[in-house]
Amino acid sequence: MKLGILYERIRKDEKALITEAESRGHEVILINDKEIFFKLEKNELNVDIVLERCISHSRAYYAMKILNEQGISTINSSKAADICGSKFLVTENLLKNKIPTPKTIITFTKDSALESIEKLGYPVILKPAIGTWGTLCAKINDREAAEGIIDHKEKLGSYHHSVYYIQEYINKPGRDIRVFVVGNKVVGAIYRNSKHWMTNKAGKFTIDKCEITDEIKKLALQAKDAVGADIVAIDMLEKDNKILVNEINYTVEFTNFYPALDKSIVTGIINLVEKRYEEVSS
Amino acid sequence: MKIGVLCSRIRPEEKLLFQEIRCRGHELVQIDTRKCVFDLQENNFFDVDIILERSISHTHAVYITKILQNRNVPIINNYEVIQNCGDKVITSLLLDKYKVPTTKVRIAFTAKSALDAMDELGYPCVLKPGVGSWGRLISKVESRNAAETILEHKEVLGTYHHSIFYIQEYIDKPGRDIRAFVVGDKTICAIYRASKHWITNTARGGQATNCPVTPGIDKICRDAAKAVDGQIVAIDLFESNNGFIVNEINHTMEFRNSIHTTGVNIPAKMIDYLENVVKKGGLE
Repeated sequence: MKLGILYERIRKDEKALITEAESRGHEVILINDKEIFFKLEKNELNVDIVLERCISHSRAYYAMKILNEQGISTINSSKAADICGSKFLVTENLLKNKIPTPKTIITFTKDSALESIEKLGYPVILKPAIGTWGTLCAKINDREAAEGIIDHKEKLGSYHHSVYYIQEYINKPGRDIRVFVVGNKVVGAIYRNSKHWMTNKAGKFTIDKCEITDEIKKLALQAKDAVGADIVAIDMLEKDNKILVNEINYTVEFTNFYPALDKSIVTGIINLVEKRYEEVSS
Repeated sequence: MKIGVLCSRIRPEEKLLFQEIRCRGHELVQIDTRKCVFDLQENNFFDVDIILERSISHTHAVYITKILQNRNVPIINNYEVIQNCGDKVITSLLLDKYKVPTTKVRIAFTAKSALDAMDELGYPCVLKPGVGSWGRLISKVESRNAAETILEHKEVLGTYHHSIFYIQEYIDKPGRDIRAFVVGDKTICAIYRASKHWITNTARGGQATNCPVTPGIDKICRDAAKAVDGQIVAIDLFESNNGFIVNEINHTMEFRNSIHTTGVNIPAKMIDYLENVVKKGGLE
């Protein structure tokens, strides 16, 4: 097949995927999201299916939305990217499917945000509803901090920051769990250990392999289905003796987590792409 | 019945809608987006039969319609319509998909590729923010030099939403465009918006006169509304050498300048539509 790979930079992950696809005799067509422009009235890409490996969410989403409306399948789909790219939509879809997740409040102005934070009680987490790598996520410990942060958001933020996504703080045991799902298989799970409340802050965390218990497996598959995705990395939090689903990532990074994560994830991803290609071409 | 109206600042349009709702004996429930707090664990927020979305903020409308729809509250326009119309990339994609005549559009993600797209499309062309209204930050780009300057400003000064470059073919229109109002599956009226400026929005000084709804206008407007699943929408048309083409579709339209001009009571038609939806037991 002609496999399009939509990307911004060829990192170790993309190299591994390209090598695997080419070794199976597929033709890989690299599509750089910084260089391409799309004609909306007709598709001019000569590809059978596209695997998305972008860094920017908005580029990934719009590129896949255009391709999907023009009849080209992508992995993940633009619909899944739309949901996973928005913390709000992820929370709504998890709740709709009765999957445990931290309590969340949505509001739109300074006054109602403060009121909601007081109601939920300190500490709370304030996150941009759309955003990645923990940028501008804040743990707020008291009213003074709440006022200061909200003031900055209101005065300095673009209109996207006029949505306040306020979340219950989960006092987790110095780590979170990231679970990797490819198709209908949970292919790995790791602990990310960190002294910082935000485990992935500046990439300063250590990694351990995490045993895939029945609970983790069940939650991961339910969460993947709840957002309608094919390949995801799901972040989970341990609270007392329960596990909560926190966030879902749709452009899965994996080589950074070797050897706690098994390298066979690469063959799993290309297997899934082949399977999807067979489905759409028949 | 109980009609909720989702709004923030009350414009003349909302006043007319409130009046229409009250004089028919319905109960009006004003929902101020600025005061809304949604605890997502909860399922009951407003005790209403239907909600009319009139929020000035597109972002707020997107979140609130989604929250209410997920809890089975009928809302007009709904989340999908607001997404389809509020994002010009999606509007154009759907118009092309359903073969409704529209302008050529290119989408790029960096200043460099946007410039390539403009060179390919030719000058003059039009650069718009993917999300935005009232003609703000829309530029007619006359040459490659102008393109380079505008793209640089956008890339350096804009927020991340400005890194989606929506580039549209420029249509040389006869000093005016057409705005038509579609409610349900009817084109209820239309106006010409005339201006010496290439942007003809009445919010930017365009002059409104009545435009008779011909069968041609009616058809393209209903087709366009259908492409975006629009319930109550305003369609902007250009008269080109090849007939009518759709420029944009608006989901929370202003109409204060169009009632006297057309002689059609637009707010009354909107409330008629809401009543019908409730009578039929909600949206399909």
